[in-house]
Amino acid sequence: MATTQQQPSSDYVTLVSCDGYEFVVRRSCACVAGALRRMLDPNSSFNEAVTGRAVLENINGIVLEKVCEYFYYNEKNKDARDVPDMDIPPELCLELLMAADYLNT
Amino acid sequence: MASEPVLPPLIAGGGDNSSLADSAFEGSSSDPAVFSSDDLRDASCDDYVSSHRKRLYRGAWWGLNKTRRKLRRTIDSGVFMGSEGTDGSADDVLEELHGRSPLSTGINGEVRRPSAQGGLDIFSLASQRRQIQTISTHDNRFHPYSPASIAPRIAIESRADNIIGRCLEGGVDRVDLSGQRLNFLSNSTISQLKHLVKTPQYESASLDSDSFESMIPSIDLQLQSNLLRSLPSALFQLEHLTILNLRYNYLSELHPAIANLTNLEELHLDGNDLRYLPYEILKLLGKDGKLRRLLLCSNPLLKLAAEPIAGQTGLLSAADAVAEVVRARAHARAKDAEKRESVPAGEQQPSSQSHPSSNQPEDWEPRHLISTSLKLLAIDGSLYTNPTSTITPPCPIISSSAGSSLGVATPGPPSSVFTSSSVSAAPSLFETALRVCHSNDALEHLPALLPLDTPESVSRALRETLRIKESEDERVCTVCGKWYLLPRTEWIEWWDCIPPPPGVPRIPPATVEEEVTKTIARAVPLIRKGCSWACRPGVPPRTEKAGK
Repeated sequence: MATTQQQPSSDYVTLVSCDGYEFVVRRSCACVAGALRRMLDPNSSFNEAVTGRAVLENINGIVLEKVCEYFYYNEKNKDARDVPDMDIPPELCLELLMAADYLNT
Repeated sequence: MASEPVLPPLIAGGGDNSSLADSAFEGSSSDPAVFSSDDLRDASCDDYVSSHRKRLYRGAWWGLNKTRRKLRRTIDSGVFMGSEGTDGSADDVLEELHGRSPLSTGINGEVRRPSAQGGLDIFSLASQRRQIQTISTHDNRFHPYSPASIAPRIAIESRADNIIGRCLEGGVDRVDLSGQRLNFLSNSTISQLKHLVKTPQYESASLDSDSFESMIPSIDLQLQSNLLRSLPSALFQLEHLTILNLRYNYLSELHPAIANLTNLEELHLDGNDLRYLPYEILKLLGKDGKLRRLLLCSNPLLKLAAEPIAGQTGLLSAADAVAEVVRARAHARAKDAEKRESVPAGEQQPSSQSHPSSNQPEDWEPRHLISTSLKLLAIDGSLYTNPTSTITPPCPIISSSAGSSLGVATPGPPSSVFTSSSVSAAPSLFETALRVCHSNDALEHLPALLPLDTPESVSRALRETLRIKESEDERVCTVCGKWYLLPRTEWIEWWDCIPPPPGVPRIPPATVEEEVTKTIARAVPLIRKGCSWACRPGVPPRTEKAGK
């Protein structure tokens, strides 16, 4: 929410995985991730910020889907007292860990 | 016997029967069964009973395909197993082994694969053993993880084991392990004390109604003057531990699990390397806890007066801040005294001459004095530096043994951090993924699965997770009470929490200034850790259910 004070940019951004899957998520959710926040900052002149489309070369579609799920989970439980655990299949844990490190989430 | 039903005649093996069987099963719907011997001539389902059609092979299955192998070896020592490539050279290996070391001939009848290094291994092992023996007699301050320390460690440990065993047998609840040069204490040794049962003392018992004594042990564990750097996690599961003496060790941190020892009455921690105590120890010191004697002398505790503290009105010296607290308290007490006749709760210098007893003044309770400002940690538990601000915290960084660093008395983090979307009560994705790794049974194999270009932070976090899992380290957020793996916030609070010695007459301090100096001298730094950036000072604990 904090980053959307300038309205010319859209409320939604597109995240593209390395294998071509596209996820359209709310900008406020995506900006939970530090790396995406900087990429999509409307004040910056990054290409991603202008087009509202960020290509993540090292995250595949399955993982990016989980990451997007996390963005919404985080947004939902921001001020919650009892945060429920998110469901993550065990086989994704390492890839998600790498993605989380990359995105700084 | 006559009434016994007549069994149908067995089909006699023979070539004729096969044609009979063929006709009998002709036209049945299912295909003939396939057997491994079907590649043989004329083999089919109906030949099953006629054994003479099968290839006759007597012997073990593994020899089936190797019948033409030349088995020339005649050695039958029972030690060597024939393996590929060494069949011819077994003699040589045996000679080599005999030549190098007398140990080589089948220790405990163990079967060794003959290999080129076999002899060397045994030889070096023997010499190492001799080395270890010499080390254990002379040097007792070796590095705890060097390979040479393993054998003495076992020796020392077994001594501790013996002492504990004697206590268990005799039903003695005073376990004296002091001065044993223990540098390591394993979970298995300590956890035996869980089963300690007191033996009744018959000679002193008279059969009055008053003479019933509790058979629940109150364990007095004396571990002073050892070389301990850390404590086994099993120690914190001994619920009947009443006195824990850890004087003169090398502890640099006390685990928060100390709060599990709810029956603890005395905790001696003098002469260690402690800089702070865990916040959880307050559970033992409050009204619900039983801890009445906490000795902390000669530890390098973080000093309150030395650090300027970021208060609400800018930088404020710690002494001033504490003076405010004490003055407010004195004021409240004066009001109280007007109401009541008796003057309550003077403050006493902590002294070690006190004796544990239960006549605790009712109005004493730990009081919060002052906190350092918050230290934010990044997702991987390292120190967070705000990338948008160029100001680096001009603080004395004190690195704790956990690898994270503590800045004492930094100016608070820029308020922009808190308005941004990064503050959330939800765990980070990194933490979430780590928790999944933690619950994975194959956690120890996970680091090997990481690609080569893995960032250091990821592999470090995984190693830390593995360590947490192996040591059964339960980390609970001090603010929201939830379980976590990597802390996100850290700060230190100074508490006036050393219980006043009971029995000593209380002399109220003459002046407020005197009370301030005494309070500063007595303040104990307690470290608090939070699981998310939303868990920070000023956030009420979950139990109070206060809205934001």
